[in-house]
Amino acid sequence: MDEFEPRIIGFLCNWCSYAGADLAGTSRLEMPSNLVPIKVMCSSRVDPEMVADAFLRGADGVLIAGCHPGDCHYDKGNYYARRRFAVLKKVVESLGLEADRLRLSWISASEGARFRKVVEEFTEKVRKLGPNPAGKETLL
Amino acid sequence: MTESRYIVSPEEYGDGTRRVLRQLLASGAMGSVFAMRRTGEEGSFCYSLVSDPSMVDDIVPFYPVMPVQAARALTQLTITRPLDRPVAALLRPCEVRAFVENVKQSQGSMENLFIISCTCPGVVPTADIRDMKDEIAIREREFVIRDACSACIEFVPGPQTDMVLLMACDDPPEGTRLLLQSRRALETAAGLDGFEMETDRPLGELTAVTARQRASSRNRLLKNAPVAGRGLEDLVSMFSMCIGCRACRQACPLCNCILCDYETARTIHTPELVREESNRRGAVRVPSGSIQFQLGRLNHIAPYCTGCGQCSDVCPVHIPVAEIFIRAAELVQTSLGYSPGKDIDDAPALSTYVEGELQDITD
Repeated sequence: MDEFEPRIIGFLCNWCSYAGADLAGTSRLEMPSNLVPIKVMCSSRVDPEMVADAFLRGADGVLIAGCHPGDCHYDKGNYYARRRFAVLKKVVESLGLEADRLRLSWISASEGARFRKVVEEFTEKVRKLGPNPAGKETLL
Repeated sequence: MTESRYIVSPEEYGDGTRRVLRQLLASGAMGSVFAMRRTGEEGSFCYSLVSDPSMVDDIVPFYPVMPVQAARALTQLTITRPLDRPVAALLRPCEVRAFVENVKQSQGSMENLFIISCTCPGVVPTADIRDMKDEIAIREREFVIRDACSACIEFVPGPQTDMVLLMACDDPPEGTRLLLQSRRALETAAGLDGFEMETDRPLGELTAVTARQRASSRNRLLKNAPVAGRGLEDLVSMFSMCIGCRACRQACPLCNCILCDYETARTIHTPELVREESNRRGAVRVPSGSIQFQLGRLNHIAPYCTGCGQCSDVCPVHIPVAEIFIRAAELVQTSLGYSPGKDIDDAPALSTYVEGELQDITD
C-alpha cells in the first residue's frame, strides 16, 4: 500500500498568510504539497462550521492562518478568530474527536520561511495521526 | 449585604404570587403579566401575556413545565421595539439568562420588564406534561425533573431579577416568600396589600446545601454524559436516529438566526457531492448532514448555552442533545471565562477578546 499522504485544508488570510505562502512560492522554497489553500479575506471569516465541514468531508487536518496579533488588516479580526478557534477546539475535545488535527498559526506576509515550516510540521504531525476516520464514515 | 428583604404571606406560593400579580395589574403598576397559564383541563399549559386581572386565576406560577423556553417568547415580544408598558414576567433562571443573552445580541429588550423569578426546582420532561394535573402532587414535589434540571447549578436567579420566589432551598418555606432584589421591587412591594415585610439571610445562604447537591449531580452528568469524549464512532451511532426535524433548533432559545445557515444552499449537500462521497466512502447516508448540523450548532451555541434542556425534551427520537451541549458548553465557557446571562454589560463571548489570552492554542 502507498504511504499515506495527508490532505490538509488551509484557510489563509488574504493580507498576511496567503501573501506569506506566495512569498514562499516566489522564493522557490520547497515544501510538502499536502496543503490545499483556500483564500479568505480574514482569519475571522472562518466560521467553525466551515472547519467542521472540512473535517467531516475527510480533511486529515485543517490549518487556519492569519496575521500576527496586533497586525490584523481589519484591526482585530484575528483576535475574534482565536476565540472561535478556542470554541471549536473545546467542542471537538468534548466529543472525543481529534483536536490535534486543527491548527491556528500566525504567519505574516514576510514570513515565507515560516509558512514552509508550519506546513512541514503540520503535515508531519497529521501524517503520524493517520487518515481522518471521518473520511471513511458513511454517516455525515 | 448580610440581610435581604422579603415579603411574606402564609398562603401557598401559587395563591400568594397570583395575589401579587392581580394587585400589580389592578393598580396599574403593570400593564400586563407574562406567565404560564392553564388553558384546559387535560394538562395544557402555555405562556401568555395576560392583561385582564380576572384572568390571573388561570396563571400557574412556576408550574414545573416548559412547553417553550420563555426567552424565545420574550424575544418575539420585544424584537422590533421595547415593551411600551411595564410587564411583570414570571421566568425561570435559565429563561432569564437566555433572554439576557438574546438582548446582548440585539434580539430583544429588557426595557419595561419587571422580572419575577424563583429559586428553581426544575421542570418535568415535556412529554410528561399531560400527566401533570394535580397541584397537590406538584407541591409535594412528586415529579421527576429533567436531567438537565437536576444538573443545573444556576438555579438561583442573578441580579437582573427584581423579585425571587423562594422555592428550591435548604428549608422550603410553608407560605409565599418573595425576595425583593431591586430598588424597583422595594418600591413595588410598598404598594402591595396583605404581605408582611421581613428581613432574612440572602439567597446564597438559604440555598447552600441544595447548591452542593446540584453540583454533585452536575459532576455526574458531565462525567457520564453521552459521547463524553468517546469519539467519532459514538457520535455517529448517537445521531444515526436523527430525523433532521430541526426541533432542537426551533426549541433552543439561543438559536436566534432568522435564516439558519443549515437551510441555505451553502451547506446543503448537492446530489453530485453525495454521489461523489458515496463512491469514495463505499456508501453514504441519505439524506446526509445530521452530524454536520449538530457540530455546527454546537460551535455556534456552546458559548451561550444556558443548559435549559429544551433541545433534549423536544427530540422525537430521544437523542440526549442537551447533555452533549451542557458538556461542550462547560468546556467552552470555562476556557473563555464566560458565564452566559450573568451580566448584561458583558459583551457576548464571541464579540469580544482579551489581547494576551488563549496563547496556548495558537503559534
